[in-house]
Amino acid sequence: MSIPRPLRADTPAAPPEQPSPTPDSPGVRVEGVNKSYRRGQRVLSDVHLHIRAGETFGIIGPNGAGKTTLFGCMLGLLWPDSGTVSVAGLPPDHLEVRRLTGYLPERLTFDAGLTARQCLAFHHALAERPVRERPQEVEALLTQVGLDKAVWDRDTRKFSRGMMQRLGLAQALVGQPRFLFLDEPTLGIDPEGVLHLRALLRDIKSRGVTVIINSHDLAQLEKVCDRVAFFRAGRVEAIEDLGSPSATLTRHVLVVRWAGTQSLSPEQLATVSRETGATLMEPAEDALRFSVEDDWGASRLLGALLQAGLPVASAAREEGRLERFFQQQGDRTP
Amino acid sequence: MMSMPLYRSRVTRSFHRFSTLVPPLAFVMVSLAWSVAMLLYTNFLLTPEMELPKEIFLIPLGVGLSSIGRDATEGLLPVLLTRPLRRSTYVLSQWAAMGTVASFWALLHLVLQWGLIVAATPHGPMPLEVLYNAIGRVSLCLGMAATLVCFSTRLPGWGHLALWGVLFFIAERVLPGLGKDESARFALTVRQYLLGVLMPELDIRRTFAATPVSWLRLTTYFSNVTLMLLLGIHIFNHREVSYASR
Repeated sequence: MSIPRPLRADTPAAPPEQPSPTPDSPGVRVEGVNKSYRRGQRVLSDVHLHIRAGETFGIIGPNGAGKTTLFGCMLGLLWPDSGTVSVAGLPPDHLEVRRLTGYLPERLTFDAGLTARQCLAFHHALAERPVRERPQEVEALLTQVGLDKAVWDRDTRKFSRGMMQRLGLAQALVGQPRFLFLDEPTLGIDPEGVLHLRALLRDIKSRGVTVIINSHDLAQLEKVCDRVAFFRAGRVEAIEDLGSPSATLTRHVLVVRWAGTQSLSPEQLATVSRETGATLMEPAEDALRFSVEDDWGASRLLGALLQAGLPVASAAREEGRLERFFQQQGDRTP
Repeated sequence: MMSMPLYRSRVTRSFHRFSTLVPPLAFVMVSLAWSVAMLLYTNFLLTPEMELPKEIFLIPLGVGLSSIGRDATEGLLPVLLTRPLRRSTYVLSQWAAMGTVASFWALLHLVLQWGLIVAATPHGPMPLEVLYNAIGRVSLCLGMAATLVCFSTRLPGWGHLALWGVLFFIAERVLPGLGKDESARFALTVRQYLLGVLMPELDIRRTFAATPVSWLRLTTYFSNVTLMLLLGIHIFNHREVSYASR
């Protein structure tokens, strides 16, 4: 199906019943979307995605892969050349969808001269929230995103990037959205803020909110996302389900550290690895890295290493599944 | 039709921003200072006159420094347009805010001028004349706001002011010269229409003092303003606003 540019950007106001994105409801559907810009550059090519209601979905890919353009199409800010996008079963520029949507853009700006509290109050009013609840809801949101109370009444022009990002997140949460679109949410946030954001996302997810994150921070995506789509040259190359075990999950890297000095020669290590079905990988400075088939393989390897005389102090699965997935797909760094 | 939070924020912003506060304020102050200076220089012989509404066209231009194009350039649009807000509502709110602020400055200028004339002469202008002048000013401010908002729905930054300036130059300097030629008389008609779009003004006295009432003036004004607003809404409805599309 093809949708040329709509005659009106805003579809008529809502039907009486409000769509409620429970896990059974439609979520976000992208069907065969193509998008080119005027210069003829094709940005999205036949993109198909179904983001289920209530899931946290990540989008990764190299710069210029079309991630932000896809966001624009899903938010009704850009028109696909062909294909359809629906949010909660409605067109993305439907007013009812906008009542359900929160958006944190990558390049965030607010009206100059407003304080954080005023900014949020303005967006609270635009989101058609009750005036009576405004002061309480604004303060609750500012607290929720962890913005220091001392800066609530400070001009946002004096805010650091991290503070702006927190305020932007609070702005995206105004109106209790059911669909949250976050474009690089951890950009400029300090480590404490990242932890806070992660906890916040977990809380939001527990309330059944569908969260769609576009980020280059693979480690963070891995920690919060249920599924991640890998984008390249405007196409969805692969989708990784982080919630279910897969071949890539069972085959993992085991990092082994030892006490004292490492007494085994490279030949001995190679023999132990071969005998237990593991593969010795590029060693780190103070650790050995083995690729093992599964948890049983890891257990066999550790037993053999101890038997060979290596004083094993710790062994842990190496994190970075998404990073490996990205490298397999794109063979490049984000 | 109009979003009150957006309207209020745009009105407030006009008074808080240096770029939209200083030009109209400077116009009012300089104009008043000039009148006072003339009074003092001529020893109260040359009394100031109330300026005609169309002579205050610089005020809407100054207030128009902040418009949709500025919002787009500053990256405010993507977040604003993901709110439950029709694009037509956004355009109309911008227009109403710009028209209100420009009208405020134009009326402040009129009040100060009136006060000066009353203070300097035994017989000030008749209240009805002042009312006609005030309505003329407000109509010019709202009309010019419609044109400037229409231009700014597509042009970035201060592009709408540049386009207005170019068209005004053509209307004032190029077309009259062309119209002198017998074979290009249409240039004068084009000029008249172009000025009607660039500076729509409702001359109340000439509209209602005429017998019968000059409905043509009335409908021309309202049709020009409506046309510019509809055109602006149409253009803005088709505009892609993500920063990825720049």
